[in-house]
Amino acid sequence: MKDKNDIIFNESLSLLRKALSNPSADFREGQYEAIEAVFTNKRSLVVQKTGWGKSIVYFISTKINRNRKKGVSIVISPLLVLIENQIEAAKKIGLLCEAIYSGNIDRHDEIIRKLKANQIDILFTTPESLFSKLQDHMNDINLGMFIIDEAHCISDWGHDFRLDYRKIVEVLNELKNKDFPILATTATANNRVIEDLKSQIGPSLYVSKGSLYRDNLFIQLLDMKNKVNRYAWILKNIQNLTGTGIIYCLTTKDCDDLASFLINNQISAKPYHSGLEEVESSTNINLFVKNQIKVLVSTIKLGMGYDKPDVAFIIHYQVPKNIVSYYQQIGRAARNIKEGYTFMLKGGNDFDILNYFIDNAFPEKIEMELVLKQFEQQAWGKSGLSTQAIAKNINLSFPKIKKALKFLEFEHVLNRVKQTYFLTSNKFQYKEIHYQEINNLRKQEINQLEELFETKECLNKKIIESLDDSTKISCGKCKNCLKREIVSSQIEDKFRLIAEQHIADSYIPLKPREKRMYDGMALSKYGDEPIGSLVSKSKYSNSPYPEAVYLKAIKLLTPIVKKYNLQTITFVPSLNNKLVDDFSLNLSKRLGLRFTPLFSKKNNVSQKSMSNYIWQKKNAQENYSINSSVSVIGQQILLIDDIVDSGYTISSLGEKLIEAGAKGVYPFALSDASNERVVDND
Amino acid sequence: MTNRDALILLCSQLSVGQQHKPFSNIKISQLISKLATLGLELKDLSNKTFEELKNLFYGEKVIDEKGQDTISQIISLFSREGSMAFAFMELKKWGIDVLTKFDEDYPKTFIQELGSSAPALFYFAGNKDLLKEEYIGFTGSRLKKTNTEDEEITKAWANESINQGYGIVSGGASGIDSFSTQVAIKLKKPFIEWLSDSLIKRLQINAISLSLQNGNGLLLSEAIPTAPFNVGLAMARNKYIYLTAEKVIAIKAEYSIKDGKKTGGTWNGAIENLNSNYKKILVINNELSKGNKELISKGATPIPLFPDINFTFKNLTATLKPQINSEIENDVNLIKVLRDKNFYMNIKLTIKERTLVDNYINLLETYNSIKEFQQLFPEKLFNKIQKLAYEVLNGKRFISTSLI
Repeated sequence: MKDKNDIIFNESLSLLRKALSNPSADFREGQYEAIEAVFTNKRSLVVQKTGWGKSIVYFISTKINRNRKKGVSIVISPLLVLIENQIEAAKKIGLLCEAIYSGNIDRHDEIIRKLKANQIDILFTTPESLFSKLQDHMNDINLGMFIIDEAHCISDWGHDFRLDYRKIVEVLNELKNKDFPILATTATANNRVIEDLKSQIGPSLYVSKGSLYRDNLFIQLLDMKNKVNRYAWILKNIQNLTGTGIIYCLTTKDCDDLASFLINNQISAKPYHSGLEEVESSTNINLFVKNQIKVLVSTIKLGMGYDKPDVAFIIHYQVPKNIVSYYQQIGRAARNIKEGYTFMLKGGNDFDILNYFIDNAFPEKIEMELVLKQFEQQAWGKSGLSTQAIAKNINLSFPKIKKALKFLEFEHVLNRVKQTYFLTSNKFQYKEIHYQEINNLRKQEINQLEELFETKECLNKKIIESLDDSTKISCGKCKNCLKREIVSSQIEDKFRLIAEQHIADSYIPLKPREKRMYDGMALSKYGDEPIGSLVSKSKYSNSPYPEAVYLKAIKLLTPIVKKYNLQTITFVPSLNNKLVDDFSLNLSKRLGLRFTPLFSKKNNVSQKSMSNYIWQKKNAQENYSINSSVSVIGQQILLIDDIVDSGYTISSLGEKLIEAGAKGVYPFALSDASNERVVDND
Repeated sequence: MTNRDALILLCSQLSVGQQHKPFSNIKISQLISKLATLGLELKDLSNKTFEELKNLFYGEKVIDEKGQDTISQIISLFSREGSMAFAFMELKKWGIDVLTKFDEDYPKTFIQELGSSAPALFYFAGNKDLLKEEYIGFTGSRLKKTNTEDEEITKAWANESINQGYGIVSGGASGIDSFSTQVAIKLKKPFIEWLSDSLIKRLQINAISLSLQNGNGLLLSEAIPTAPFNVGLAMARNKYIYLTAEKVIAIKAEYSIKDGKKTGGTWNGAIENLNSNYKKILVINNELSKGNKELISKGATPIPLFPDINFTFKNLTATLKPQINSEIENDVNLIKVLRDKNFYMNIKLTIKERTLVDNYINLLETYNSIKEFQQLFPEKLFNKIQKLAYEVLNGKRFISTSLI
């Protein structure tokens, strides 16, 4: 930077010394430059690793701005935990600091009143709270500065692009004054993302970038094809790791299952993901914060903005989405303790799953056009459409319709008012090239992860290289530098047996859409080892289900039969094969129940060709009929299907049984093939 | 910050909250003129403290006698930059933007004809290049007061207009306005709607938004896009239709009598424009419409129920000068006097009054309504000036002027 602005410098330095209660403190590299850039017409981007001291830059910039009688600074961050620490730190420099987020709803009115009275200097908030709660009051709030934490979320080139963050940029772009102070910060932006941020926030963006190398992280990678081994390894080693830590999984279901596995084996674990109720989420995270549990099993919901200082270890149950996410997630460890241990386990088909997600990240052009077409066929008058109304007209799955709608809204071709979508005056253009480029980049980032498993070089070095940080290092803490395993990859049989047992006993809850039915179960996830894979093999080869499937079914169903006093087994017939008929017959003998075929199928319109539930429901209702010559009045019935997808067929048949007088219906399936896996993107 | 940005911050009714009072069209014009005399532009006011602004206007009264309030007003309005950004972010989702007096595309005729009362800005959605095309305007009753025949007549004339190469302009209300727009949409030809309110609601009609997407339509409104119906703005936008159109067809000019005065949207618009734009008004010669018949008797050009084969808009000329009602005529002449510098030189004013008048002397000729003068001067002074002006008009006082 050329000439320092003396006025700003002296003001900043005295504020820094005051904040740190140290009259001889000096700025770290880049800190002052970032502050000055905020005020010299240059909007400022700080790319520095966690712990570099971004907060002090927020606070000093805010104080200077407030001294100039400007409005409140708004700090936008995806997740606000440990906010009390920030508020305390702000006080030291004489700033009145508050937060508005889902964790303090009872105080929102009071804080908003203070904001309107200009009695707050700096406000922390999340994008959700900003655009729902705060925006309604914005007209009476004098804003002085925008501070955007985790600014890489703005870029769809980034590893964690968020729609809410794009909205922030849209607000920034509407600022009339190019001098309006903007400070953006991130610990994870490569050059491509920085360029994108420049193009979005402003070409004169001042970038303060330092080394992203974290020198206190041990890194070990383990290639463990099957689930049993990964469960067993975690169980064996977790007790020996000191302190508390995080296990990262990709899906909410994996979090729940792994957490319950650990709990069953006397390890205090809790799940954390966006599928949990708000109360459970915050209870679990609080237990973790207070070190009252050993481990939190989490999706990436726990990621950015999470600053627990003493996380001692990070385990990746699967390979994370990409190398930047990986860097960020292991970076949760050892914020304020001497060192942290990190282990990444690689499953058999992890990279296939990741590639599948990439390939399905964007809606197809034809899907978007199909959705848009629904808006053309309407009479004169106010005419919006709900997701339901669209699904009624097009045979496309709900997730696909929702994805298409989401992108159309994002591109401002549609706008949403509550739950109704309207056309806007903006014309639709499919950004094929852009999507393709992003997909290519994402695949490249996956490759970088794959390469980590191959390389002999320092892992810490390879990781920061992917963020365009070329600091020359040899960390001495990764498996490659140490030339040995940090924790042995060997697993004793006793752990493997426990894991096998758990997996054999686990099932997937089946919630029927017909509420008068009991909640049932599916034995496996279709295709998953071991049962789901056996089911899929039998289906493909049209050969009878093997004994292992019977054994698990009998084991899990025996207590159910007793609990509900089930008397009769019936099944969902197929025109293609007799697999489920035979299975039901054999099972009835072994469980000692009456076998009664009750349904016939009319024609062979596959339920699979019906993409959303409105079509599936109609198809299910029309294609199956109940044999009215057999009475089911007062009976408790076990209803079996081999594979459930949307659950409409089994629910529809259950409904028919109840309508015919059955007292209760328990739905049971061998495999759950419902939709794509749910990855938690928070 | 550009002058355009400053204008938006000072005038937009978005983000007013509980404390901000945006400048009116007239007041912002006065401010701009005032600044010009000081060698300044609107953008120079941004980022200034109260003291700096006070110094800027040192020795001058800003706009009115409450100079200090104007300075606070300016500071308060600029401080809503952050909140206004949120409001614009919401508008962009619909594809809505603003067209300001400082923009290239802002219609020149508006400035020429409306002077300082030309709206500082319009909110719009669609293709603003359409302002360069030629249009036939359509005015008439809302849906409740129309019948199938009115619809047929409107659509026939809209078709005729398009066949002769014009686009369609209207007020975008239900009834006659919408019938005319529907013809343009069906034929994929240009249309403009000058809305008095609820721009977003209008956008929510798929047929309209599709046309906007395809570049065939333009919606404009002086009111913010979420504004509810407002009689004043509904009347004001009549002017914009007349200014955009080559000819304006009054399909059905119904009126009701209120406080002894005839009133009705189409009626008022026509009467108002019979003065300055009388050459533009075409009225359907409908025996059944009392309003239409009266307009024709006042000098508006009659056209048949349905266009005949030889009809062309181009050759149409108004034959007789309309007989404008005396009240309006008085106003027009009064304005002429009030705009005249010579008038002020020839009347007796106190020193204080003289200072005030001199401050605005160069602005006065841009004013187009009595109301503007009324807003400009303190009440007592205005009454005095008006009385003197009437004396001139009635021949009781003589001044040498080319206007009278």
